[in-house]
Amino acid sequence: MRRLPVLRLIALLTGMLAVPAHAELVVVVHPDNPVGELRREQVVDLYTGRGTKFPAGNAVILIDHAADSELRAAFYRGLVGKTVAQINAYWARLLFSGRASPPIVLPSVAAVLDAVRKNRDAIAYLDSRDLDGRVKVVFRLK
Amino acid sequence: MLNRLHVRVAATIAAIALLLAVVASLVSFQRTHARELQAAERALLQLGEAVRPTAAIAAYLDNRDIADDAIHGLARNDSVAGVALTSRTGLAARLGDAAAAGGRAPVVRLALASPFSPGEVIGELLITPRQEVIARRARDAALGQALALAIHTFLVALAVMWVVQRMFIRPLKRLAGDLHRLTPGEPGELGYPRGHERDEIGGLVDDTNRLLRLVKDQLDSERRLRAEIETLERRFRTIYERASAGIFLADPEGRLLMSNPALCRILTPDRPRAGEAPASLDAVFAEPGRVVERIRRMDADASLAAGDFRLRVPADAPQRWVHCLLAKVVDEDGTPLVEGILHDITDRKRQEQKIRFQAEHDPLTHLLNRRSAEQAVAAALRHARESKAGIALCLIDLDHFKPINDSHGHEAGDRVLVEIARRLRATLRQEDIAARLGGDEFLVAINGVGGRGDVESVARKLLERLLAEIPLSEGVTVRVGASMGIVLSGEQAGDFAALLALADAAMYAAKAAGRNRFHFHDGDAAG
Repeated sequence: MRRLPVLRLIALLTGMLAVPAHAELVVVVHPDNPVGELRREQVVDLYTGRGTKFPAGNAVILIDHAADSELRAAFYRGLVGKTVAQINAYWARLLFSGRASPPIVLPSVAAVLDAVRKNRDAIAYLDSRDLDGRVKVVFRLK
Repeated sequence: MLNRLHVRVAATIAAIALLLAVVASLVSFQRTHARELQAAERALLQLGEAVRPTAAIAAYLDNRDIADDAIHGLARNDSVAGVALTSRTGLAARLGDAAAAGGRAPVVRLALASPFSPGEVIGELLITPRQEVIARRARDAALGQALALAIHTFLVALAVMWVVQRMFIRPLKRLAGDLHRLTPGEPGELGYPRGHERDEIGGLVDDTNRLLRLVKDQLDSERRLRAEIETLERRFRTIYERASAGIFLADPEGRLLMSNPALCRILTPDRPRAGEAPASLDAVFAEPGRVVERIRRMDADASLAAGDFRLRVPADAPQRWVHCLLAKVVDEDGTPLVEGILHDITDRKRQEQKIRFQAEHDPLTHLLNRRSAEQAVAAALRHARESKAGIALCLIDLDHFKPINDSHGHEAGDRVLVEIARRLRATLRQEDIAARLGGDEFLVAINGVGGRGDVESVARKLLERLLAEIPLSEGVTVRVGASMGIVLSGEQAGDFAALLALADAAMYAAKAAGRNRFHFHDGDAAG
């Protein structure tokens, strides 16, 4: 928060301008994950802690991007229409109950990709341009 | 007690204040109670709103921990009896006396929407209010409000009472007391109650004082007047009661409305005290008709009349006379009345009668004298001519009278003449006339004579009685003779003198024929 608002604005504008640059946001899993396509509701359930397992029964490892990542803001805006701060507050409330575990936050897109490639139960979201053949797309956020 | 002004005012204000306090308190209680209940419901709603996001998350996740957290927070509020949080997906967290949805108790119901898709209802938060606490609070608040209002009203009433007492009742009471102690007509005035010199109460004092002065003046002048009237009345009464004249007041019908003691004394002089006030003119006058007639005639000419009238006296009492002044008066109602003033003139009247009798009668025999005989006969003749009746004049001359005078003395002669007069009167009727013309010559006039037959019997009877013995004293009797000359007015025209001359001639003829007989004027002898 030490950045100047002007820069934030620029960042936001570039982010928005960048949106057309992203073809789309996609939810990906390990290629070996038996899950096929996921419905939007299923993605929402997983990313709000409501669902903790894949339809096949294997437990989910939620992966998230850095808190200030533009990708993260775009994802939550697109998925549930909430800001990152609102999502954070939601998770904070959930955390006090001690039942749910929030997504694991990884610092870069590369780290995220790496984590998905290495964990069979991991699930993450990416800019479709960052896709390579080593992860499986289960949901496209339009 | 209730007729005291200040008590009434106080009671009225107290009653109005009580009524107002009751009504205001009731209204206030109702309003406050309702408002408090609404406020309590609103407060519950707000409470619910505060935990709504958390509750929504709990329902979204079917997370009992979060649900418990939310409903525990709510249940800590002492106006909440119970809380229930349910989700469509099976969560059902309850705490306390949680009413089921659709139960009968009033429940605050909040729908829970999914935090991530607004509009999608995923659960329900039900808050059951603790009715008794809410109701008690509402009642307490309403009671407090009502009590405050009642106290306020009471204090205002007290203040109004004090002001009314001080500004109206006290000065008015003082005035009323002062006025009560004053006696109208006596000196004394009302004073101003302090502070009210210029307002309406001061005006009341001014007006009352003016009225008091007026009453006093009026009473003073009335007292003076009454004293004057009393004096006058006393004098008039004295005049009326002590007057020697009888005074009466009569109405047109002859009833006496008033009469003074003198009238009673005149009516009954021998019993001056016992006499009762006469009731009518009939009781006063022997011939009330004459009095009434006099009064009626007076109407035509004047308002004052006078006359001599005979008083009504007992049958055996001597006649008495009054001179009466009559005056018309009109009383207050306009009724015409007659006022009479009577003087007893009996003595004068008797004197008059005596003088007249002496003038008209022979002092020895009390028969009419020549002059009045002439008048009486003239009147009888006039009357006879009018009534077509006749009268007989009968001239009687005594014979052998002079020798009695000579031998027995004048006194005996006089006694003979008196006896002759008595016999004449005894033989004649009341309406006939007997007169002594002089010496031993008498005249008799007989009224209502039809013919000689009527006269002859009377003349014969007269002659017989005159010739009877006349006792002079013990054992001494005398006789006189008599010659009568008779003339009838029906047979002879002429005045008294002419008739008398004819009778005289007839008498001499009888005397010449041998005395003790009567002759008619044409020489026809009889007896």
